[in-house]
Amino acid sequence: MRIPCPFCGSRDSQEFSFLGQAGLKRPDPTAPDAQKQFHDYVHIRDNKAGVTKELWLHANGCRSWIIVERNTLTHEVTGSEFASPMTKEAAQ
Amino acid sequence: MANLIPRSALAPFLHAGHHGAVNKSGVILREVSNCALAEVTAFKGQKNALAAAIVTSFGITLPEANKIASKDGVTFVSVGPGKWLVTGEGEAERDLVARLEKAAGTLAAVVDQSDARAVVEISGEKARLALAKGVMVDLDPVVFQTGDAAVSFAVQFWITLWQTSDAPTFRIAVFRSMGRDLLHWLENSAAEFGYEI
Repeated sequence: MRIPCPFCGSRDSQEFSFLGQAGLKRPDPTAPDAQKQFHDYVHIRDNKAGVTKELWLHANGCRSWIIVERNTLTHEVTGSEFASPMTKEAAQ
Repeated sequence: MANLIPRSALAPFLHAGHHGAVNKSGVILREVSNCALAEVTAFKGQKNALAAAIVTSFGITLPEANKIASKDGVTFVSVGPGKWLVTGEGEAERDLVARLEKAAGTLAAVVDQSDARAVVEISGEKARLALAKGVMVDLDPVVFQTGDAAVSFAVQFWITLWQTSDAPTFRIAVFRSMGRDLLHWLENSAAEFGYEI
């Protein structure tokens, strides 16, 4: 599988390591139902059949965290972007 | 402070002479010693200011992704967003880190890597074929030419690779403790073409 790194260009997936679903928001620890929210934040994932957004680290490359859009049914990778706005700014 | 004596990362493992296939010399390997190394990382929001400071101090425009830029023995290799590996040779070796620190001021972190990396130079008409056996980026001259760089994966380790001439000449920087393994792989890979050290 090839992954398009927004900095390095198209690279083999062996250069990357996978973290998991992108876009998770850490819950407010002072909320009344914080325990339930944290349980979901840590354990509950969508497991979608179709287009997903995932966090990958270009570990053996530019060492940037990126968000990759991938179809779990076809393994087609349709796009990627820097996970951090700071990295995006530094790459311009 | 103790007076530290510089020691080559690879000298004990380099056996001068001709090796591999007889009557052929497709590859030339050598260690790039006497080379100062530093990594420069721009602080948040300071990349453009750093670029201007480097132009003023070194006369070099910071290279974009996958590129290098050189002048007067100093080479900047792009290694990530806002990050560069800098090499200094000849006159530039002695005071590279101090010059970078002065130029960068509060705009970037400068970390001396001189004794942290081993750098090997691979040249010769078969250099590209010898490297292609383990390097995961496409080295075809159509897409990888003099002035191009890549941070990638080769054999078992993280490498910084760049091309310095059309000979072709390539340089690979790895963590110093990986230098011997890199050399071992290069020697095996180059053996069929015949190689000189």
